[in-house]
Parts: sequence; C-alpha cells; structure tokens
Amino acid sequence: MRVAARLRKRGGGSAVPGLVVNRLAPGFLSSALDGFADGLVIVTGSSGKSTTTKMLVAILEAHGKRVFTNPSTANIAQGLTSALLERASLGGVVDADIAVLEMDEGHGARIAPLLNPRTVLLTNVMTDQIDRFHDSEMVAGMLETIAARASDFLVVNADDAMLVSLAGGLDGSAVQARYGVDASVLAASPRGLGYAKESVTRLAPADGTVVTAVEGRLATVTLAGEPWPITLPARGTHYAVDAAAALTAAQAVLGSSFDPAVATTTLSAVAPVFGRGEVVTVRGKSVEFVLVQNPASFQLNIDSLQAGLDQVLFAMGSDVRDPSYFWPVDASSLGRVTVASGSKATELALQLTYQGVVVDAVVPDLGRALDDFLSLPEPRVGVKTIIFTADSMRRTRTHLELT
Amino acid sequence: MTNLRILSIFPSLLNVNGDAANALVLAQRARWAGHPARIDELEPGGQLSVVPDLVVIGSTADASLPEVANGLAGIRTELADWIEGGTPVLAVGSGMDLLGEDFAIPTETVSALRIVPGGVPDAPLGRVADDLVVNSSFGRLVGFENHYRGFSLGEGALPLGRVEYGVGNDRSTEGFVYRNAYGTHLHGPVLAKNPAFADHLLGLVIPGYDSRSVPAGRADDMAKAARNSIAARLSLVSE
Repeated sequence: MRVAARLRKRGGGSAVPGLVVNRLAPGFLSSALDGFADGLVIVTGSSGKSTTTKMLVAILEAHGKRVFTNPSTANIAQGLTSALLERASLGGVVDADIAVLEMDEGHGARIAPLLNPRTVLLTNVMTDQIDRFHDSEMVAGMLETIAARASDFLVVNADDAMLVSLAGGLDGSAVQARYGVDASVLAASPRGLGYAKESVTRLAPADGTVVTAVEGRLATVTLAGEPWPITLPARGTHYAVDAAAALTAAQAVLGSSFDPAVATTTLSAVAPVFGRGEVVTVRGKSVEFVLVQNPASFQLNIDSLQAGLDQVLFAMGSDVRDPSYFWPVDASSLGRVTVASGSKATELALQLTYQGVVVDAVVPDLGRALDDFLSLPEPRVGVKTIIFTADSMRRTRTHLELT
Repeated sequence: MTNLRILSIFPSLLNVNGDAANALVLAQRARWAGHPARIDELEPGGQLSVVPDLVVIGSTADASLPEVANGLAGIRTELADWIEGGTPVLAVGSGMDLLGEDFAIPTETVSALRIVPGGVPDAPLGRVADDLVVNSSFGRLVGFENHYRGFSLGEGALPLGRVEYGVGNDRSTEGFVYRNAYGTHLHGPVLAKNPAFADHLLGLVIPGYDSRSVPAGRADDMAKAARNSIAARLSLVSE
C-alpha cells in the first residue's frame, strides 16, 4: 500500500493509488478518518472550499494542533485515500490531532455514510456543472446529506438562503455557528455574492462572524462582536467570506482555547491557493492565474480583474461538459482575449465573440497556446493573465511544471 | 431604420442554462448584418410596452416553474395573439413545455399556456443530460439536452427535426414547429452554435436579410468547429 502512495502524478492529481486501496481495503478510509483525537472537519459547498480549508488549517496549526489535510486537487474519495496513505503508519494510523478535509459535494454526499465528522462547514450553493448536478436544489440536497453527519458543529453561511433553510431542517445534535457579510459589504457587490439564493436578512454581529468592511485585500470581521482587521490572500469579497467561515469553524473547534489575535494574524499571512489571484513567475514572466469554477466565480473573478488587460489567455477544458450555463456571465469587460484554448476553446470563443470580446486566436491545444502566450513580450497593461477552468488548470500546472 | 425588437421573457428566472443568451445572439447577428436591434426584458408582473418582432423564452428548474407559469398566465393573451399571428418565438426546455398542455411535476400540476398543440406526456422520460443532435430543415442542430420530461406533438404541430443522437421529445422526434413558434430541448445558446436556425428566425422578420458579414463569418467558423468537435466525439460524420 505505501509503495502505491508514491506513484503520484505531477500536477496534483493523486487518485490512482487510492483507487487501488479502496478496492483492496474498503474500510481503510472511514477507519483512518475516525482515528483523530480531535475529530474530523469537512469543508464543502460550491466554491471557496480550498481557500477556506487552507485558512482553517493554518489557524488550527497556529493553536498547536497537528492537522491532517488533503491537497485541494485530491478531494474525491480515491484522492483522500491516497493523501491518507502518504501520512499513515503501517497500521493505518495518521499522526495528527485533527483532520480538516475539503470535499467535493457530489462525492462527499456519496461517501457521507462512511464519515463521522464532528464539524461540517458549508460554504455556499452556486449554479455549478449543470450536466452533473442538474440544478441548485440537487446541490443543496447533497450538502444536506453531508451536513446531517455533523455531530458537534454545523458552520453555515448565513447569506446563503438554501444553506440556512437546509440547516434549519436538520434535527441532529450539531450546534449551528454562522458567518456572513453586513449590509454595507453586500451593497458594495453590485452583482451580489453569487449564491443561487441570497438570504433576505443579514447576520447580526451578536449572532456570528460578520464581515463588516472589504477594501482591496484589507477587511474587517467581527468575532464575538469585536472588530478585527485581516488581510486577504487576494482581492475580492469572496475571500473575506472564506476568512469569516474559517474563523467561525476554528472558534467552534477550539472552543475556549481559540485566540482571536492569533487566528486573525495567522489568517492574514495565508498565501493564495494556486489559481486564486496568485501572481507567479513563469519562464521569467509574471503571470496571474485565475480559476473559474462556476458562473458566479467566473463573474466575480472577471469583475475584479484590472481593466484593459491586453494579454489574456482563457482556457476551458473537458471538466466543462456543456458550457451553456456560463452564458449568463457577462464577460464583456474583458474587451480582448489573446487566445482561447482548451478542449472547449471554440465554444468559449463563441460566447466571448457574441458578448463583444475580441478573440485574437483560438488554439485548442493548451500546451501550444501556453508556450506561444508566454513567449509574447511583456503586456502594456498589468501582467499576463491566465484564466482557466479546473481541468485546464491541472493541465497548465503539468505543462509548466508548477507544483 | 427602425429597431428590431427582441423580447426576452423573464430572463431573471429563465436563464439557468444560458437560454436567454439566444436574445443576444439574435440581436448581435442582426446588428452585424446592419440592422439595429434592441432586447426588451420582461420580468413577472412587468408591463408589455411594445409589440415584439421576436420572442425568446428560456428554461428553469422545477422549483421555479410554478412562479414562471403564474407570471406567464398574466401575458397569455398577448403571447397567444403573437404566436397565432406569426411572430417568431423560440422556446427552450421548460419554456417549451409551458406553451403546451398542463403537466405534472413532483410537487404539483403546472398550469401551462395551451397555445401550442401538444404538451408533456404523463409518463416522464427519466433524467436526460447529454448531447443532442437533430436533423432539421436548417441542417444539423447540435447542443445539449438536460430534462426529465418528454414532449408529445398535437395536431397542427410539426417536429423541429429528427433525433440523430440523444433523446429529444421521445427518442425519435425533437422539438416543435407551430406557425413561427419553435420549441426545442437544445438548451443554452442553441442559436449561437447553430446560426442557420438563428438566421431563419431573423429572415422571417427582416426583409432581405443577408447574414453575411465579417464578424458573423468568424463566429460561424467557431460554431461549426464546436459542432464538429461534438460530432467527432459522438462518432458522427463532420459537416
């Protein structure tokens, strides 16, 4: 088993050894995940999982916890098993106090009966992968299945009406903890927060963790009614919401040992997750990578790009079965895209063209498109910007040998 | 030159799959051909201020269907007059279902508009979420279908085409044509990927319409490449 764990693919994918073990020892995943003294935390929802998980792990570690977590690209059952194998002793015991796992909503719901999380954190419900999930009601149903497994705490985004409704319908023992934004932060987001259904009322600081201000990468959150300044890993209100979610979960998990000063300082030092507003030097050029996960993150990320960028590569891959559901996104602010790439390049180019964006080239071969794009001289405005869906992100990381 | 008026029905509710983008596709293609066009958006309870040249109705999830049906009931008279009078209408997915007879969803019976002969049969098809390829009088139509219910054509309605790959109405026929109203399960921006269909609708309302232009040529090359890439994946011959 341990030999299998070393057969990791480059580019972050690591499902194969887990697939082998899940067939050989199907009980391995659940028994290993039940073995942590401080239990298991599951982070799930349509978007924000990776950033929230990374923040929560950092806060728990700063409070002296040894944390087992999964790389964000390994959030399906096989990937989880692989990640566990890499850390497990021969007896299957992982040397950590607590596990914090990011989990895809579909796969998470399927393996939920095997899991006994003490805490479940729900980020949001967005219109996502229509061909796989059909509609947002189905996503909410899957999150409900996962949430119902929580024994101690259910951490819920108070601005997401579907999450509030499903949490209210659960009759388990878990105590609910909430986070959200205040009216001024919501008003500053002209297109809303991107949730399938937004709550009518805002969370009061007395009732949970509230984001009360966002200005660039600086934000303010209230913890137990007290305001705390934080720095976000990248621009965007959605990162402030991720921070509020992580702080709320940390507070629930740590109880009286939670230190808000330690938590907010630690959180402020968290680097962006790959593809979430991170600027990386590749082949001597500065490149910003932007991941598009669903229509809402597509819109939010495009809206937060610098205006007038003259070098943009946009790649849409095979993870997008049918790009129809991206058409409600208004991409016109991009103005010009240097190259559309990925296996869905022509469909992407079609949307951009009808929305008035000039597409200079359509090159479905992503490797070639990346090489050509990176060899262009420095842009006149901003940095080279690569926007991609999850599949194209993986291929980009592999092609550019980025870890 | 007068504006071409394209009416988008309830775009805030009927755009889950990007179907409302079909209004944008019609407007852009008209503009590229030199005809000014505007999109009027009607939301439930809103006032119909002008008579449209073309109408686009998109689709939604079951949870929103009663609200949509309620809103449509308020403009039934106008919609029926337009359709009987020959105004081109594109209705996609559940928008198509709503033009026919009443039908059942798991929670209730939806009051449909009963303008187009036919409707959703009692026995559902089961969930379909896959590519759909249709042979129509505008050539091959390629897209994606995601629905649970079929459609049964009544007397006076013709199918939009025959199913080459996928399920459509009943695994054999797809969509409907009734006067100049067109229903289809091809969801999302069907008119972008299948510009011949869009040009047929525009040709019905723009005298002497000629789609040829530089931007349309570029977009249509992209659309053809997209159709052929799906056809190749399905082992169908390319166009």
